[in-house]
Amino acid sequence: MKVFSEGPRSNNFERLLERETLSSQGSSMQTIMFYVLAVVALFSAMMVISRKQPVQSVLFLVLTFFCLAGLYVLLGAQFLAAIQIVVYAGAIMVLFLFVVMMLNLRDPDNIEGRSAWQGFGVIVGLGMLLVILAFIARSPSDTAMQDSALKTEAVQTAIIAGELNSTSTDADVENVENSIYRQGRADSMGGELFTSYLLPFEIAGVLLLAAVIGAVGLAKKRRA
Amino acid sequence: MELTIYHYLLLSTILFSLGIIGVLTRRNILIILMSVELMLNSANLLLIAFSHYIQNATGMIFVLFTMTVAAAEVGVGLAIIVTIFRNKETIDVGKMNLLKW
Repeated sequence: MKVFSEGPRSNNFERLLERETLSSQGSSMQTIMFYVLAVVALFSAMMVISRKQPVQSVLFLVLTFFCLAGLYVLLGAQFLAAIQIVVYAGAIMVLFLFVVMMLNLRDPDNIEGRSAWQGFGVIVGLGMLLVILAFIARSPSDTAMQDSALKTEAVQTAIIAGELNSTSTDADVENVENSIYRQGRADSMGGELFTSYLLPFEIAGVLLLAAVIGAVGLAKKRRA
Repeated sequence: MELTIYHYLLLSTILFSLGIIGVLTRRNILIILMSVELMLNSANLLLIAFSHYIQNATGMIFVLFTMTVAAAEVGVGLAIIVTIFRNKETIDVGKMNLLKW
């Protein structure tokens, strides 16, 4: 026992075990955040598909998108959370609001009637839900798919690579642990986007140009 | 209890099903388009969740492209809705029967 505790590696593993008990506070906070965001997102999604007034649907959809942005932050995708708010909750939803307000939906002709296929649609949706849930339940459970396991793995990798040793401080260990949230940051995303995914990025630009031209062409008043 | 990939799997499955129910039950074409956005977003959430738990940034890059396509889709879709409304004065999919045989 004494022989082991003197080596730099086992020293670090001990410190790691100590840290895990300390960091359980943070992970329970994350769990609470997840449940709050998930419940609000599901509630507002239900409101989106059940409100009679399209304006209310749009506003609840904005709420859903904000909750999803919060979940992206929990998953370490900070850049995508910012994009979600700017592009979805900002641009796309403003477009929806403009169209809802431009169209004259107060007209009695446009009050939405009951669809004959309503019950069928609900049954198909719930059936789809059950099928996917059955597949999830059948999938093998993987304990590596949680944050603490990822952190432990990152620290172990760093110890083996020699980046962490007996001289490294708690801050160093924390730094290595937090590296699991680093891949969603703007700098690493940008690095990937402009090296491995440069061609798809350019094609996405062409797609947006085509969409702009198409939208203008469709919505323009025809001159007879 | 700690968060796992299964929490995110469950959440995005339910969101996706809500989107499907919205598309199949509503007749207002604007709300149908919003339900499609809901489904796209649930797929995005799952891509990001897997990307995080596998520690591979490819999923996050893919979400960026999905968002681009969704933005283009909404732009063209809303333009089509405005054009249809201008011609037929309706946004009810039951009354849009130009392509019905």
